[in-house]
Amino acid sequence: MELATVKQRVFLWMGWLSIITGLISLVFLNLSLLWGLNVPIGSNISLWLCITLAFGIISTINKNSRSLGLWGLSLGIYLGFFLIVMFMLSWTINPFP
Amino acid sequence: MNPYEKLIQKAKEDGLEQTKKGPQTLKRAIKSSKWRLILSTLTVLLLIVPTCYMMTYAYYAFGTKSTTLMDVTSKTLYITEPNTTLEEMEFDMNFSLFSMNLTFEQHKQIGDEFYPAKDYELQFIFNDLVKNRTYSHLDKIYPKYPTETNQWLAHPKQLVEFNSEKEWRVLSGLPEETVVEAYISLTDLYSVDQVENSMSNIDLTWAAIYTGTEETMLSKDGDVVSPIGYPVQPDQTNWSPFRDSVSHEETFLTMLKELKPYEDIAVEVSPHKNLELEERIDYIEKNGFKTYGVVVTGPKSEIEELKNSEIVRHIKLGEVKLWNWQR
Repeated sequence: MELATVKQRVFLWMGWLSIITGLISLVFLNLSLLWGLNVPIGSNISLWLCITLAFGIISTINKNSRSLGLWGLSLGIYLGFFLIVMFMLSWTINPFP
Repeated sequence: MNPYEKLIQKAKEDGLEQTKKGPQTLKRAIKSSKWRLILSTLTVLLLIVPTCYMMTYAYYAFGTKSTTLMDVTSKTLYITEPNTTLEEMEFDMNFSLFSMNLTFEQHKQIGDEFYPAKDYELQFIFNDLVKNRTYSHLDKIYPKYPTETNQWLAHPKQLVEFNSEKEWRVLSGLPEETVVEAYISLTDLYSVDQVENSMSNIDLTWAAIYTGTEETMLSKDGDVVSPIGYPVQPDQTNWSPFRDSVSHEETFLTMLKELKPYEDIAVEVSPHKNLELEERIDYIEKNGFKTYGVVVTGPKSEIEELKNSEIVRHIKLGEVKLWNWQR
C-alpha cells in the first residue's frame, strides 16, 4: 500500500475517533443529567474532551478527513462550552457552597 | 510502439483498473454515508438535553432568579407561619430539567430551644410551584385550610372555634416541669412593646399584626385571609431576614413590599391562600402596627399566670416539651 493512502486512512480514522469520543462523552453527559448517574466518565470528562479535540484538530489537516475533523472539533468545543457555562451559572444560581 | 501508442495503451490499462475498483469504492462511499447519517442524527439528539440544561440554568440565573424564589419562600413562611424560623444549613437546592427543587427544615421555639417543626419539599417548574409537600413533626397542627373563624389568633371582635376554658384546664393539668407554646388572642389592639412589657418571664416569639381585615378575616373582595405578622425576638441566624434588624416592624413592612410583586408565588408557597398584600400594606402604612394576638413560649406556670392578665382574651395551646428553660 502506498504511503499516501496509509496517511489518508490514518487521518480518516482519527476523524472518526474524534467523533466517537465526542459522542461517547455526550452519551454519558446525558445519562448523568437525566438520571443523575455517577458515571465514571464524569470525573474524566476533561480527558475525553482533550482526546476529542486533539483527534479533531489532527484530522482537519488532511483535506479528505477535514469534514470529520470539524465535526469532532465542534463536539469538543460544545462540551467545553457546556462545562464552562454550567460552572459559571452554578455559582450564580446556587448561593450555597 | 511509438510514444503515442504507449500513452493510449497506459490510459486503457488505467481505465480497466478503475472499472475493477468502481463497485468497491461505491460500496465504501455508501457505508461511509450511512454512518455519517446515523452519527449526525445521534449528535443532534444528544445535544438536546445539555442545551435544555444550559437554558434552565440561564433562566434561574437571569430570568426569575433561584435566589429570588428562595427569598420569597423564606419570607412568606416567616410572616405567615407563627413562631417559625428557617435554618440556613438545612436549605438544599437542586436543579433538574426546567425545574428547581427546594428542601428545607422549619423550626419552632418551644421554651428555650428550637425544635424541628416541618420539612418542606418544593418543586418549581420555571417559576411555577408544582409540588409543595410538607412533613410535620408537630403534635398540634395549625388549621391547614383557613376559614373566617378557625384561626388560633383572633381579633377582639372575631369568634373562635376552640374552647378557651378547655385550653386553660389542659394547661393547668400539665406537669410543672414542662415548657409550653401558646397562641394568645388579646382583648384589644396593642402595640407589640405594650404586650411584651405586660408578659414577663416568657418569650413573646411572634406577633400578628392588624391589617384592617381581621375583624371578619375577609378582604375587601370577600376572600378569606389569614393572620400575618413577624417574629419579635432578635434573630441573629445568617439566614433570617430579621438579622441585624433595628426595627422588626419596619423589616416586616419592607418584606411585605418585597413580596408584593411575587404574591402569586407567595400564595402558592404559603398554606394561607390569600395574602391580599396591597390592601394590607396600605392599611399598615396609614395606621401603623398594632397587634391583636401573639405567640408566646415559656414555663407552664408562667403561661398559666396569663389567665389573670387583663389583656388576654383567649388561649390556644401549641406544642409542649419537657423542661428546657435556662433562665
